[in-house]
Amino acid sequence: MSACGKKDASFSLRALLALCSLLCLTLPSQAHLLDQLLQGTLVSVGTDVVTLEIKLIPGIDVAVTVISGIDSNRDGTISKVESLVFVRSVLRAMELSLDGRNLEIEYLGHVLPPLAELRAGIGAVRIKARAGLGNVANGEHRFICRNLQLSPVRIYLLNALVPETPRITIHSQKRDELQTTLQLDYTLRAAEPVILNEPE
Amino acid sequence: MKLITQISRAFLFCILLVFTGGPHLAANAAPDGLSSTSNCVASASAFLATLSEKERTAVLFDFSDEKQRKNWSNLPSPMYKRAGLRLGDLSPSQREAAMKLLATILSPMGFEKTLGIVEADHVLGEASGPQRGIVFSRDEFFLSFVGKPSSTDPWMLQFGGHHLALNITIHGSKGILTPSHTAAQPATYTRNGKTVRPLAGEYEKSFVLLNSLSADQKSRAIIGSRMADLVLGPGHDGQTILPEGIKGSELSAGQHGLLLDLIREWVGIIHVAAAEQKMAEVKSNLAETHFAWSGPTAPGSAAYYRIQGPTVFIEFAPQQLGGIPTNHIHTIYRDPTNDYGRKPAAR
Repeated sequence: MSACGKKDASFSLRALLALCSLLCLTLPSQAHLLDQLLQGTLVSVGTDVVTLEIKLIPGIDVAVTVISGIDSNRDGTISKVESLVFVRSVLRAMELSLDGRNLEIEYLGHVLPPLAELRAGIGAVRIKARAGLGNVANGEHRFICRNLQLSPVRIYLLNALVPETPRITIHSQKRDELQTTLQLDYTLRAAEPVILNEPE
Repeated sequence: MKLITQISRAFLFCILLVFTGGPHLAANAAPDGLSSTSNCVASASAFLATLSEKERTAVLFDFSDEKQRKNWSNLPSPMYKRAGLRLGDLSPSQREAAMKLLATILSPMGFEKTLGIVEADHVLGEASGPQRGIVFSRDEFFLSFVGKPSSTDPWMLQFGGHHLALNITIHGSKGILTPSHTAAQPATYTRNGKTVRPLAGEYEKSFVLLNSLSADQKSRAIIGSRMADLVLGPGHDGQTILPEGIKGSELSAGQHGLLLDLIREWVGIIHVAAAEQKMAEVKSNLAETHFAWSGPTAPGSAAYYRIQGPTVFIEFAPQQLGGIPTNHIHTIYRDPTNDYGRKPAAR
C-alpha cells in the first residue's frame, strides 16, 4: 500500500470509528435517511469485463461525519483530489475474483453530489468501476464480489444485472445475509458465427 | 380493523367526489382506451386553460425533453429540484382543476392512494415541522407535462413530490404508468378520527400470498439476504436485475389470483382502461413472473418483496433506516420493456 493509501485507510478508519460512536448517540429521526451508510452495488458481467455501479448514501445523522472523513484538510469543501481519494478507498475495500483469480478494479469515474445534499442525507456518491477478465474460455465460471469494509453502520445491497450479451447465462446468484458477498455461477457460450451474405 | 379500513376508504372517497364530481368516475369506469384518453385530454386542457401564459410555459415541456422526463425522485423538495407547477402555488380553482385531472387519469383506487400519500407527507410535516430546510406538506407536490396533451400523439403527465412519482404516458388508446414510485411515511395515520393507510393493499395482500405458499414453495420464494432498500429505485432507468424467488409456473391457480391481486395495487393506479390492458399483459406472462421475499413472514412484520416478470418489476421495501419500518415504506413499479412508453408499438 502506498503512503497515500495508508492515509486513505487511516481516515476511513477514523470516519468509521466516529460513525460508530455517533450511532450510539443518535436517536431515530422522523426524516428520511438516518443513521446508516447505504452502499448499493450493481454488477454487470460481460464476456471480458465486469462493470460495477456503486451508490453510497450516508444517512442524515452520519453525513457530517462522512463528509469530514472526505474533507481531509477540513476547509469545508471537497476538492477533486479529496473525493478521488475517498472513492479509491471505497474501491480498495472491494475484492473481485473470477474462478479464484483476483481481478484488478479500475476506477472509471464518479459523481459527488452537492455538499448540501450530502449533509441533508439525500446525496448519493456514484462510482463507476470495471475489472478486465482477460481471455475467458467458453464454459462454466464463478465470479465473486466481496465488500471487505464491514461495520454496523454500513448496509449493503449487492445485485447482478441481467447480462447484456446472450452469450452469458447466469445460473445462480448467491449472497450472504448482509449482502457483503455476491457469488455468480455462469456459462459463457461461443459467439454465434457471423454469416455474411454472398455478393450478388 | 376491517371496519376502520372501510371507514377510511369512505372518507377518502368523499374527498375524491368533492374533487372530481361524479361524471369523471363514470367515464373512468368504462374500460375503453380511446374514450379514457379523450377524458384525460379534456381534463388536461381544462387545467391548462386555468393557467397564465407564464404558468403554462413552466408546466409544459417538449416531448423530447429527456431531462424532464427523468426528473423524478422519492426525495422531498426543495432538496430535490422538481420542475413544473407546485400545488402550493396554484389558486383554489387551478388546484381543483389539477385534482380533476388526476382523478381522470387515475383510477378511483389510484386517486385515493395518491391523495393518501400526499396527505401522509402533510401529516409528517405537522409532526416534525421543517427539518433542516425540508418542508413536508401537501403543497410540495409538482405537476408537469412532457408533451402537449393529445388524443393521438404521445404525452406524459408527471405528478410527484416526497414519496411519490407518477409518470403517466398517454399515447392514443394506451396509458403507461411506468416508472412510478409510491411510498408513505407515515404509512398509517389518522385524519379526522379515521385511520388512513395508503399502502394497506400492498402490505396486507403480500402476506396473504406469502402465507398461501407451502413450506417447499416458501423455501424457494424467500431469499436469505437482507434487503435494506429498493434495488431499482429512482435513477435506475433501463436496468434489470436477475430475477429471484419462486416462479409463477410453480404457483397454483389460486396463488396466481393472489399474485395478480397484489400486482393490481400498482397496475391499477392508472385509469381503468389502461390498467385492464396492462393486467391482461401481466397475466399472460404470469408463468415467467417471480415472487421473492426477504424478512419475517408473520403478518404485521416488516419485510421486503419483489415481483419481477417480463413486463413488470415491483419492489416493496420497508425502510430499516430509523423509526418503525412498517411506517415508512418505499415501492417502485417499472416495466423493463416499456418504461416511459418506450416500446416501439406504444410510441
